[in-house]
Order: sequence, then C-alpha cells, then structure tokens
Amino acid sequence: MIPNLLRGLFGVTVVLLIVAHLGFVLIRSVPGNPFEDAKALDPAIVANLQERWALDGSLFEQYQAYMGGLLTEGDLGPSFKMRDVSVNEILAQSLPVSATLGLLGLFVALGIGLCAGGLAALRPGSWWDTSVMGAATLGLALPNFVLAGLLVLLFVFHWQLFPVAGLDGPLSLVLPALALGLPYAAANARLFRTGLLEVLGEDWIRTARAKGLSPGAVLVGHAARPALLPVVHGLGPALAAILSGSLVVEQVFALPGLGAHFVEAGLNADYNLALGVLLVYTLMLGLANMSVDFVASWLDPRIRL
Amino acid sequence: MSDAPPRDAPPRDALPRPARPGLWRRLRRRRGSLAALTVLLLFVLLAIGAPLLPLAHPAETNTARASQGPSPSWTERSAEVEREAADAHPWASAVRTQLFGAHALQGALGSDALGRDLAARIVWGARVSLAVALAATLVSVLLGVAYGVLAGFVGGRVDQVMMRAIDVLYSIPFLFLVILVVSVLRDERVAAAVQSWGLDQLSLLFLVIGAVSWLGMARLVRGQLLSLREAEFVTAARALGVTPLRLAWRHLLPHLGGIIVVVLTLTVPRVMLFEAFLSFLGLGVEPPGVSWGLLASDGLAALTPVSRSWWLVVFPGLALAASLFSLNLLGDALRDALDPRTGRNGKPAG
Repeated sequence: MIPNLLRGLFGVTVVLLIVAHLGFVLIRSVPGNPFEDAKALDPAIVANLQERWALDGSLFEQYQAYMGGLLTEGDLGPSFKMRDVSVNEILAQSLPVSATLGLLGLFVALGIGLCAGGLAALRPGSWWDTSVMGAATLGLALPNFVLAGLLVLLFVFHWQLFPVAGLDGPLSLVLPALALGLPYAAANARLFRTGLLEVLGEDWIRTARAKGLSPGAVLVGHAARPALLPVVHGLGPALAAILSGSLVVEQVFALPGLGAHFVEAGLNADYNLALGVLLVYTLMLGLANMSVDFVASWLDPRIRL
Repeated sequence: MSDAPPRDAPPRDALPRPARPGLWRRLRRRRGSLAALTVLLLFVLLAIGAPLLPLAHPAETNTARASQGPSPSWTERSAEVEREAADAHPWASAVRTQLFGAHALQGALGSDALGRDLAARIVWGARVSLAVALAATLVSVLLGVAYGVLAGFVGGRVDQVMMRAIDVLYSIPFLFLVILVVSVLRDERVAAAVQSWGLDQLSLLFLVIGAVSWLGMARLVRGQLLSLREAEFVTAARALGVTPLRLAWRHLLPHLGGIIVVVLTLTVPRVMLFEAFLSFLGLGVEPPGVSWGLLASDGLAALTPVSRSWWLVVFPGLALAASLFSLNLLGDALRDALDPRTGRNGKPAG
C-alpha cells in the first residue's frame, strides 16, 4: 500500500514537472516582455517585478527564478494582467468553486448513471431498459455546452426554476452540475448495465439466488462490486472529461471558478495565470487517476498496482 | 449495440488479417449504421456543396432581420454579395447563378442578433468543423502510425524507450496544455511569426489537435506490428532481400488497415468535439470564420431574459449532436464489422 502510494505520487510529480517545463518554455517563447502593455503600471513596480522574476536576465535566470519560487515556496508568480494579485491568491479563491462543481458533477455522473444502469439491468429488454439505453446513447453524443444550452433554455427561460447565471446559493449549482455530469452518467449507465448483465450470468449469482436472496439484495450485495469495475476503469478518462467540461460549464453559467480564469487567462495572454491553473488541473487529474487505481484494486484484489 | 460473439467462435486469430471483402455487407447489417451513414453523407455533401446552394452569405449582417425566428422566405442576394461569392468560388457561383439566379433561401432556421442567416452559417460552419476534424484526424493517424511502426519494427530497446515515452505522455492532460499552446499561438507576435512559415490559423488548429491525439493509435499499431514481425511471410520477405522500408510499406502496412480504420472512426468524433470545444471557448476558429462550436457559443451568448432566440442554441447543437451521434454509431458498427471474430460474409466463422 505505502510503496504503491509513493510510486503513484512520484508519477504525479514527474508529470507535474514535465508540464511545468513545457509550459515555461511555451510562455517564454512569446516575444517581448509580459509587462510592456500594462500601461499604468508604476515603473518602480515593474522594476521590482523584473528583478524578482529575472525578466531582464537570460532564459536560464528566468527559469531559475520561476522554478525556484515554484519548488521552494509553491509560488506561481504574479498575474501578468490583473494588478496586485498573485496567481496563488486567484487559485485560492477559485479552486473551492471548481472543486465543488467537479464533485457535484461526479456525483451526478455516478449517482444517476449507476441507478439508471442498475435498474435497467434488473429487467433487460423492458421499456425502462430500452429508454435508459436510448437516452444514454444520445447523452454520449451531447457535448457539455450543447446540453448546458438546452438546460438553460428549458429550466431558466421556459420554466424559470433556476437563476440565470452566477454563484448565488446552492440552487445556482444544480444546472451546472447536471450539464457537467449527465453525459458521463450516460456512459456510466451503459458500462454498469453491461457489467451487471455479464456478472448476473455467473454461477455464484445463481447460488445467491438459490439461498433465497431477493433480486435487489443479490444486485447490491453480490453483483455490484465486480460489475463496478468497468465503471471505475472508465472513471479516469471521465474525470479528465469532467474537469475539461467544467471549463465550458463555468463559462456558460458565469461561475467564478478555475476554468473561467483559465480561459480568460488564455484569451488575455495572462500566461503566468494560465500555467498556474494548468498545473493545478494536472495535479487534480493525477491524484484522481491515482485514487481510481486504488479503488479498482480494492474492487478486484487481483489487480495489482 | 454490439452483437454478442457467437458461442462456438474459434479463438481470436493470432494474426491480424488484411481487411477482407464483404465489409460493406457486414456493415450494412448493423442497426442504425445506414442511417448514421446517411446523416454524415448529408452533412458532407452540404459542406462541400455550400457555395452551390442558394443560401444567404454567412457573414452578411442585416439589422432589419435581426433575431428573427425560423420563417423561410425567398430573397434576392445583393449584387455585392454575389460579387464576393463569385470571387471566392468562381466556378461554383457560376453554377449556382445558372440554377437559382440571385435567389436565396433566407431565415429557414432563423437569424442571429446581427441578422446573419443561421442556416447559411450552419452549412458554412460544417465546412470548417468537418475539415478540421478530417485534417486533424489525418495528422494524428500519420503521427500515430509512423511512431507505432517505428517502435514495433525496430523493437528492442528503442521500442521500450518509445513506449515509456507514450506512457508518460498519456498522463499529461493535453486538453489543458493545448489551450495554453493555442493561447500562446494567438499572440499577435507569435501569430505573425507562424504566418511567415505559411501556416494560417485553421491549419495551426488541426496540427495542434492532431499532434495530441495520436497516442492510442501508436500503441495499437505497435502492438499489431510486434505480432506481425514474427510471422513467416515477414521472414520470407526478409530472406528474399526486401529492404526494411519496402517491408514496412508493402508487407506490413496492409495488415494494419483494419485497426487503423477502427481507430480512425473513433478519433474523428473526438477530434471534432475538441475543435467545437476550443471554438466554444473562443480559442479555436475565429470570426469571421464559422464553426459549429463557435455558433453554439454565440447562441448561448444571445440567450438573455429579453431575447429568447432558442433557435440559435438548438440548431447548432443539433447539427453537432447529430454528427457526433452518427460518427459514434458508425464507429461501433465498423468495429464490429471488422472484428476478426465475425467471419466472412457476416456469418460467424467456423
């Protein structure tokens, strides 16, 4: 367990370092000085910033300054475009919003997906099964932003059940979480149903039925654990997709999360901020994938990490 | 969706075989694959034939028609628009003028806040979306096959290093990295430098998207090659003195056709979604260009409590969803049809 954990963390660190270096090279390949078009900036401030980040120095000195700050203090540097704000401060404000949204999206993807898939597998061929699988196939082809548009159209403008946009109470997170999670709920429903149908044909399920367990108890107590395996294996890519989906969902619903900052930073050429957010995403994804591996080995002890 | 493998099927063939005849017949049997193919063909025809169709100019603004719902009518295209179209597509415009004169179908799917015709924008957007999807897929296939063939063909330590590199690359969240790359490439100074190499925005977009979507292809191709390398016909070819390059091209690549096609059909929808995603965020196709992602983004931006232009959200989304759905369906069907576990003529082998 501990060696595996350490190995996983080592892998995440390596990827983080690779991404940080790639990002650094990319950003410094933009000609000019990041502060040259910040018109109103005090020359003294510019001088300070240039000294701190060695912007006058050679590429290697800049590299030392950036990586030194990153590795020793976890300092991601100042925002190039927003005044008096460091990337760390921006992250501290927006990470909770994005994390909440991501977890809610995951909850939708797993909760709705597993329930729908499980119920469909109980009665294969029934109208419920057919309609769930039809909806799931459709859901797989709906990009997050198309789904978000349809949800806004129906539940904000037509029935006026939810606020338009912005972060204002738990109600304002319902539609974003649905837009984020439903496409992956569709994928999970399909995976779980297929997994369950396969498992339900096994001998030991017949044994469980023969000893008098109800269909529900067989499903939850015996069949669910092995049938969850394909879902868990699909969770790695799904988590990546949920994270990237949160980019568009945050933009559609004007939520002040990481994704909004990332896209804005990209559009405004605020490269330090973009690289900082990229590193946070990389870290979250790495840790998430690691946990997926652990869950998979817990579900099926034959899988070695 | 996929039929269960026949119970008495023989074990999976040890060697991948070249694509066999009867593929079309087997493909046709899969449920929905014909419908999917029809939808895709329709979109492709619309995209290719866009200059031939009697549609409004996709970027022509008209305040008199701003934010109108779907209500088709015939209008005359202005002389200026006609001239512009004739300059851009002389041959196609001539044919269109012969067929329809200056008539244009206006407002079939409504118009946006600037009075631009949505139907025309969706059709012209299909050109960009499909072209980027195809070009980016092609880039990814070329990269993936070249990498996979090299690794599998050379083998040994080179192969191990190359595959380790793929493992590392796999854990990099490319989508986010691409956004950083694209935003750096959009910087005017960088854009000017890139333009001097003869690359425009669109080709840059598909190069970048293609450059990050080849990992799966490389892995699969390499895996197939490893098993092919040991086959007798390869030894025979080697013994006959065939050069390595000719061996790879003439003897090995044909055996990879099936797997390449399958990965291809799975890559196209992914890449298409990628383009739509980037364009939606404002980092892909830039106005005055149109793509479906851009249209979806415009449609959402136009949704305010005062103007409920639902058509701007629904129709671009529908175009995108329909083509992604069809591509997924076709990919599944093609994978089943090419699966060596089903034998010739779609009947279970053996």
